[in-house]
Amino acid sequence: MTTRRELWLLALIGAWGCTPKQPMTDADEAPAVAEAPEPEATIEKSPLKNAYFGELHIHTAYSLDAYIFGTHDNDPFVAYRFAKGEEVDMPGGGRKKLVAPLDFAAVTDHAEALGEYELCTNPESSMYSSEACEGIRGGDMGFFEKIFAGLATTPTKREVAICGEDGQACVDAISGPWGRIQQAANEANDPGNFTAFVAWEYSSNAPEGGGGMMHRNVIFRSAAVPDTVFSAFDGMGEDLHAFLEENCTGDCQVLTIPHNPNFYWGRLYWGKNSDGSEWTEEGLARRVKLDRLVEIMQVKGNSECQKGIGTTDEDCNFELVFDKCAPGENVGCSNDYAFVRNGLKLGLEHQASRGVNPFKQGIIGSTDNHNGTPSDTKEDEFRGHYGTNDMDPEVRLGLKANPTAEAMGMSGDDDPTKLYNPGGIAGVWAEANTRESIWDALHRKETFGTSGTRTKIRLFGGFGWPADAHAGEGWVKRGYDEGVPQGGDLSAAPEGQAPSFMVWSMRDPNSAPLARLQIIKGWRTADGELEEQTFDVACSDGGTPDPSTHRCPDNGATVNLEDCSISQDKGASTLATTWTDPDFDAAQHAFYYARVLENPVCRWSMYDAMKAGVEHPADLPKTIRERAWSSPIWYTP
Amino acid sequence: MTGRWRRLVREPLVHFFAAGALLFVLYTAVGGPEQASSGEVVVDQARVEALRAGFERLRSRPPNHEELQALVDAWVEEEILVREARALGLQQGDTLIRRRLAQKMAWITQGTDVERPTEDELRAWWADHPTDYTAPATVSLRQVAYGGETLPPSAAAVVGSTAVPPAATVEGLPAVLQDADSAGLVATFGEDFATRLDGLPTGTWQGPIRSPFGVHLVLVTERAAPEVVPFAQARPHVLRDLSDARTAAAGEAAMARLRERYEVRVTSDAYARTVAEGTP
Repeated sequence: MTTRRELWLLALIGAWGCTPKQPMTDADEAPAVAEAPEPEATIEKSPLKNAYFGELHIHTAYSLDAYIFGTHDNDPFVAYRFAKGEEVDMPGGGRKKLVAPLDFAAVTDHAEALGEYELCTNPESSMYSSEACEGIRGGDMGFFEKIFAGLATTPTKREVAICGEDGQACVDAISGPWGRIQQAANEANDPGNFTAFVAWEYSSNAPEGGGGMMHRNVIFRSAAVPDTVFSAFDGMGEDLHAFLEENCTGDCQVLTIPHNPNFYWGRLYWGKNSDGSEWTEEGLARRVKLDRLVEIMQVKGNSECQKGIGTTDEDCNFELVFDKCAPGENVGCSNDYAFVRNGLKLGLEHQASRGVNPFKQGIIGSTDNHNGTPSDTKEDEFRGHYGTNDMDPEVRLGLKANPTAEAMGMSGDDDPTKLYNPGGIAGVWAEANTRESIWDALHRKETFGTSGTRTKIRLFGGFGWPADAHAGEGWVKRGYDEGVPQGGDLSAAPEGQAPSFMVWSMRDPNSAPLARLQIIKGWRTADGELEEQTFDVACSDGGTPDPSTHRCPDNGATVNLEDCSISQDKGASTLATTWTDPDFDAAQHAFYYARVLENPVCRWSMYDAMKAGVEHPADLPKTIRERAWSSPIWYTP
Repeated sequence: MTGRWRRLVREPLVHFFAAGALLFVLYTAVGGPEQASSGEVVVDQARVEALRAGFERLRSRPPNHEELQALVDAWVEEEILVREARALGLQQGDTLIRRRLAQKMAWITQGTDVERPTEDELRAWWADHPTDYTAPATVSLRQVAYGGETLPPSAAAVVGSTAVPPAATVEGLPAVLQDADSAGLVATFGEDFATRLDGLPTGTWQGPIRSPFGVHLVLVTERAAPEVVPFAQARPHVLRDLSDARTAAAGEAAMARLRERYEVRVTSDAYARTVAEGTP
């Protein structure tokens, strides 16, 4: 009898052998027989908008690091199938499907090594049999280190053993995978039912090393995209913006999404270019135009805020990866510039002093997993995110070495990966499930992020609303008619009036009920101080916020750590209120965003400890309070 | 173990030196350099051409005189080391070498292209695998959500009828769902709600139906049974599935051909017992 492994091997090698690398489709053949997709114009639009959930940060086999980690079969085509609810194979065995299909997705493979991937996986390439390519196909982490280390040198240099001395072979090979990435998105896109965006990730390393990254996802509105990608081998993040401005014109429209401010070592919000040079006026304008959103939460940690770094907010300490930097330290720790909330505050300062806010970013969540499985975020089904490298629960729990972390220079006690999590989800409020509607919602920042559940959160800001404006049927229409939604701008407060906010959240029926709804305000005082305050504005279980502390009483929800069951009688399915800023000063720049906290549930590490039959590591939290964040609304005097 | 020591143990360089030390012991045990294999290393024209071509592929120019000489020297030394290693039997039991050889062989053996299916074959596959191309059952419904544990009396009063129920007290949930499949129901109302809809009478208000949002009245307006997707629509999936199946079958056939030439004899009684008893 043939073993499964042998069969798999033979099948895999057969697939590499003589068939073209891309899956068999009709692209290279007779016209497609399938019925023409519905033209977008005929799709019904809801003017009051629906919530759509999706993934804008996912890696597949086409990301060479994912490939080396053992993600070989889940390519962009498979990733979209998973997003649409199909069951797919996991790297390292087993199959998985989402609890419910997603509404949209963008495969964001690293632009950096698309050519290297092609040369090493396409048997017709002259480099296929090279030692380097054999090493890559064999999962040799040394090549991951070498190739991604080449990004940290100045100037950046591609791996000579694959790309040649001048790197040209790898540059030339980009067109194959770039074409198939577009093909996969264009084929998966199904107006009215599922939206797929053409995208890539730009991934430059922070010069300090230590796993530091200054990355952005690049999301296109339509099938009109540049002829080739722009990667960290071609320039800095600021050069990426210039490239897009020059090469994405006409029908091409694009936005960029920085992620992991916590891993930028401060270089996202420090007020300079990523290499430390001074901003230019053109560069700033491009930043405002392109950096529309930021990922607040993903696999590699929460980047909202951290207690003790510009805030006293207790609820900030959630899925954090790093400790606060010691004086003089800057790498592998959290500094003042490492968080979205601080970035939003700094943006107010730039707005006041320069007249432009380069950090006016909406909020989303993502996974960034390297398994090709978009929004694969359930705590109880976590299987890691680095292919086969962390398929073992004991690796995820930090009880065994994580090869990915070691290769990134974060080994032993410096390895933070046990503090990672399954990642977040992106939400938008849009008129319809089409590329146009969803991309436009992303662009106007009418978005929200979650820590991995499908909790909805909605925020409107305006003036003159009564305390019960959120109650009753017409509140959404009122929000649009008389105010602005999340991501919007308020200004010119009427004399003597403070802005009011209608805020609403609905639980994910497949997660825990809601515990409390909050509004976070940041502002700049007359003497230039940047301040913030967190207000609990609606409490579950009949509670009301304490007027002096602005905190809800604890609703007493608990988790049974024996079997991970949760309180059945605590929490709310929806929370809503109308809140008016009690301390408003019409002369001050400010922002407001909403956050909702769920009742606690077991964290992935509890499920992993049970699966592995080991004691839960004492330094990891046993439970997690999942949450969602709305994009801010800004007030400019 | 302290952090530093743990780090040291994980250090690849440490492994390298440890392995080196072990080899040295082995090497001296079998006799040392003077007793190792010897012989002729031939540098023929084909070898030189291959080295030159490899260089050119990487650098986009031919090697100069010194570079070529360095390439040849490196090859000669590699050849000598490989022969010495073979003489010591170092390839034995090396799983990496074993796996690489197996991969290469599997690759050569199979070697044949998987044929692109014809339209007739695609149609036949589609007809033979109806369950793979069946759209799930769907339900269209209206719902009114009241929160809480029980229906308000005025809502309970419309159960079994088509009367207009009192207005919802939970908002933000769709009042109408059109052609929702099970996954869509689970996403919107959770598992319990989706399960409860099975077998619910059509055409009148029913309830209470429970969900994480509380209790609901539900009026199922229409049900559609699972339906086989027409070939034209299913074709891209059919093409993918049939191609996958053929690739897998080709691999299986290639392995079967090879296995026919071998007789496998199990000499481990314990293993034979395990197989016979079906126990691990």
